[in-house]
Amino acid sequence: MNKDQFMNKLEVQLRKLPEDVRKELLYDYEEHFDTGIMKGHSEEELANQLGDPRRIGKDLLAQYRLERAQSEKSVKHILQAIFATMSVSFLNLILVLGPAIGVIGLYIGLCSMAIGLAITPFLFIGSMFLGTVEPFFVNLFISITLGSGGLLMSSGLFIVGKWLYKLTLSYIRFNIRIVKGENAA
Amino acid sequence: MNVQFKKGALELCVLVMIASKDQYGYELAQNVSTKIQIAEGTLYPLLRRLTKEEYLTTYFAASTEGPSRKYYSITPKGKAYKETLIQDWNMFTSAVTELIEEENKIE
Repeated sequence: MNKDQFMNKLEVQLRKLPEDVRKELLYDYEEHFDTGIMKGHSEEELANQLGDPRRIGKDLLAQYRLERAQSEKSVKHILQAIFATMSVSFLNLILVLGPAIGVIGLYIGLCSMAIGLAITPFLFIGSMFLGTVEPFFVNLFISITLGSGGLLMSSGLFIVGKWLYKLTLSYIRFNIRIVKGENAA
Repeated sequence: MNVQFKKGALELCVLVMIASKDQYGYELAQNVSTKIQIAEGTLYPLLRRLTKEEYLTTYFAASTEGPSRKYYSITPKGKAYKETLIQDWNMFTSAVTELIEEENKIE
């Protein structure tokens, strides 16, 4: 692999970044090649010592995404950080995606259950117009009990949701440390 | 050498080397790779992170041989961090050495 091939492969990995950031990142490798060539080494030799440009590019991209997600907090940035982190290694895919799907799935399930319970009194009122509420009082009390249970659950889930958001943030930070560790070798 | 050892040690090596003398990327890569076998390209993400965390600063200076180069220099914050890392490293390695020696005595 010569200098151009190395730089092209690296650039492909960084194509999604803003131009100024990409140029800044590529500059370090340009300088590395130029200095090495001036000192009498071949392009192939230098590329070989640098290592796999695809891997380096993925590391740089993940690092940039994580910096963004930390400095400018938004759902978009966090999602980009998660995807960039996952692409660094298969281990991260399991570490990030597995728990995320499990926990979010469970949370969505519980939320739909709470909503289902909370609307039972309205179903009861609706059924009254259709004339199918016998025995009246039994169904009335059941729907009120289920409905208030649903409301209680909803407020509980609201608190759990906030807590879950914080937990997700610290879990991503924990993964940042793993990625940083991988960057260093 | 074991990959896990390298991961933890590389950051410390880079800080120690830059603390002794400001260096540019290529120079640093050469100095590291005389002692430790690494993919030199991974040094730049590490340098970038250390700069973002304000342990290092960069400046451009002309070289005698050609275009200007990006030099890395350690900050006071970086020096303090380096000292902590050295302490941790010494404690860790002496504990491991002690453990190995004790095991050898038992055998």
